[in-house]
Amino acid sequence: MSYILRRAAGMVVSVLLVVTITFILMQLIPGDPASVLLGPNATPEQIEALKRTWGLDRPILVQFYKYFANFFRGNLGESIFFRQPVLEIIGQRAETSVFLGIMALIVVVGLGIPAGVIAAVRPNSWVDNSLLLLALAGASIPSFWLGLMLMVLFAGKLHLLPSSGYTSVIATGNIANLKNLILPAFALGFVNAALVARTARSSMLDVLRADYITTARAKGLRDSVVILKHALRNAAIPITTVVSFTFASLVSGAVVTENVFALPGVGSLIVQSVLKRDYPTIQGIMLVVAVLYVIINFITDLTYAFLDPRIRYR
Amino acid sequence: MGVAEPKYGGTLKVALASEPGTLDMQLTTGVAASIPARHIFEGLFAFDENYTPKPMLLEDWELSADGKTVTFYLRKGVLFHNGKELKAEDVVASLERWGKYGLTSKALWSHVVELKAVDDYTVVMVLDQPFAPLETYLANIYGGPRIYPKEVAEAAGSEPISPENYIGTGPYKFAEWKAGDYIKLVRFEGYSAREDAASGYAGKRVAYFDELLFYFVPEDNARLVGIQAGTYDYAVNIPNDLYPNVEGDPNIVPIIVDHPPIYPMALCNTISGLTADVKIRQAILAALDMEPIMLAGYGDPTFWKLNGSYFAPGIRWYTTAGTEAYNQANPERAKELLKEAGYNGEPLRIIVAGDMTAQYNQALVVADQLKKAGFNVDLQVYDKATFFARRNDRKNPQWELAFSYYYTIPDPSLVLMLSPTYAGWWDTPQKRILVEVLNQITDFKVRYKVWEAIMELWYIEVPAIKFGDAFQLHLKRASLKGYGTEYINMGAAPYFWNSWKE
Repeated sequence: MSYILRRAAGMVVSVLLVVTITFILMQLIPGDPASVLLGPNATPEQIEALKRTWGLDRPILVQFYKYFANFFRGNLGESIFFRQPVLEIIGQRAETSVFLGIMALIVVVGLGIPAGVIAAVRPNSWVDNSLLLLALAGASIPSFWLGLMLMVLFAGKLHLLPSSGYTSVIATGNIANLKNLILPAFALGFVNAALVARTARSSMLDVLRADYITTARAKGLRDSVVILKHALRNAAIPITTVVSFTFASLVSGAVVTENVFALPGVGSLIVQSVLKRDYPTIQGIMLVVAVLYVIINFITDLTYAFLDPRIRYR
Repeated sequence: MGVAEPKYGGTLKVALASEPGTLDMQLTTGVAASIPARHIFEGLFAFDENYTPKPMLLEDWELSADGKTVTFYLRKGVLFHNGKELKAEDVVASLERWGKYGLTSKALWSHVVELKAVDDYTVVMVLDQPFAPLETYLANIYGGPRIYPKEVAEAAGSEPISPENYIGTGPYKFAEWKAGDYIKLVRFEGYSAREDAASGYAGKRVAYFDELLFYFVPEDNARLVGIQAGTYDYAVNIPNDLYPNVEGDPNIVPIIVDHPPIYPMALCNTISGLTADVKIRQAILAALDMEPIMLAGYGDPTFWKLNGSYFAPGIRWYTTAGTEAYNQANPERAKELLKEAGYNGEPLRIIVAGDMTAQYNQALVVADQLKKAGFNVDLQVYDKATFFARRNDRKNPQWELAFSYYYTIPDPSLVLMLSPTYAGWWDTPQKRILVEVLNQITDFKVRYKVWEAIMELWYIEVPAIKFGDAFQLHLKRASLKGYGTEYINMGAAPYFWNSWKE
């Protein structure tokens, strides 16, 4: 219990740090939302007038104080460009990113773990070598490039899948809209699937050499039972770690992939908000991402204990 | 095969390259914003295909003999999207807000002494001196006077109007702005169309499509593939090097926007730093060889032409005056000028936005050419917001050359570099006098002569360096038909009334 409390306190501190650092960084970079909105040809007087209306002409410390005063009241402010509460905007765009994340995770786990296990079971065979080569390629290909190639092939040439955009499944009730996310999910997941495959392979190889595996085989257990029940569970800890790290790279990867495929998700919102200097929105997203991040890390730690009963947190 | 019959119905899907910040056109000069906004809001005037302003919301208008009193007669029965009829008070409120906060109102508004509604359909504007490009200013959409309902204009003040108050008189009305995704417009059934024939943005407008959807698709390839796959019917700003991908595809019509083109330029900081010395600016101009610069920026010569005049050939303001100093490609001459200026290897700071690809590529070549002419070049690359913030910082300008591009404008009085508040801050006595005359004289021939003198002065004082004329590439599906989709004259800002899908 005290462990959980300590972790929770640490999580709060991390999140506050992220919010503060984001605030400072955004103030340090030149450019401001008023000049972005009015465009490159506005005069300084026009820009100043709009900044005054938005309260951006006040000293940074005052803005900082105001932001945190609102923050502790649970108010993340309003987006400068969308004129809506920040949380509402993030909420509207969360669907795309959540579905994209889940589908990408399916690609990561569904391709990565089986590939790693198969490669480990037949080490140095042609299957192993070709899977390794594929994994190496997967880890080296930038996801935006893979995305573009998939788009050109499956949408442009073969007309099998949509090229870009996404319409809400929840709002329209049309599950077929998920096909818009197939190419992005694959582009996003493939790189991480390659990493997971490599980790799964090496972790499985270690385990498969262990004495208890030899014993299990000696008992006459079927190969499938030995591999899936005895070996995979013991090899699972490093794999879980990599899969949870994958979350981080899925978030950053989504920033790129959502832009490539013009998906209205949180990732593309980050890019647009930074380019437009929409301070409250950037702050809000960084907060949400930071919270998600610490929660996922926490869940990962708890999963270790579940996977390996020897691990106990105090 | 005859001309296809127009057909009502359906949805048009357009891929824009970026998401606008607002559609309140009084407060933005963005082309991406203007494309949807043009269908919602109208002005007193609109440009026809020759860029001549023609009445839009006006039945008629007249100018007093001394050129100082303008009377506008509004068309009757024009409805706003909220069902209210357009009245003189709406025009007065909209123009007043524009005069105060509009991005392109200053030159005109400084001469307006009085603006009032005489009756429901008549507005009188009194000026302290004649203002030649009056109709052009009123027809211009970029930072220009779109007409809003009185309540909306008055409530908005300096702040951009929020989407729920996007109420205009145009053939389409605003329906939805899904952040990060699209802007949706639907046909306005109460639209009051003009009777005169359609020409450019002017004349009769018919909304054939039920809905217009403007998607935000920042990735160039996604717009291209979206057209190939039929996801979109029209896509703007396709990089020229992707052109071979669509050549010969029967389903796709490439639109090379060569008339009018865009003008890639580098602004010179005339008030501080190295380039405050006119000799240094002349040295830069002398050193540059424009062909490699245009090639780097716009690739295949199908997409650009060398031209040193501010306006492109074919536009009535085109002139060769001054242009003998264009494209000298003479590093030796540059070195001489540098010597005369007493240049001692101080760094020449070039700023450019990395996300403006053509400008970035041009800056690389320019930097190289200037190095060869003896300059110590410091090339600084930023994102757009940082770039513009730096470029526009008049108090402490940290640059000598700033790369950008400009759309064709219908009148030289709108040329940004002529304004002393515009980045580069060109403000010599000769220029001031010429601009003053340009704005007052109404006779075209005289104004043309004045503009020629300005171009001569431009090539002596070098407030900016023009590299050439560049043509953007747009794509449309072959099934998209109609007058409005030919775009031969309206350049980079297409419109979709009078268009339909087969």
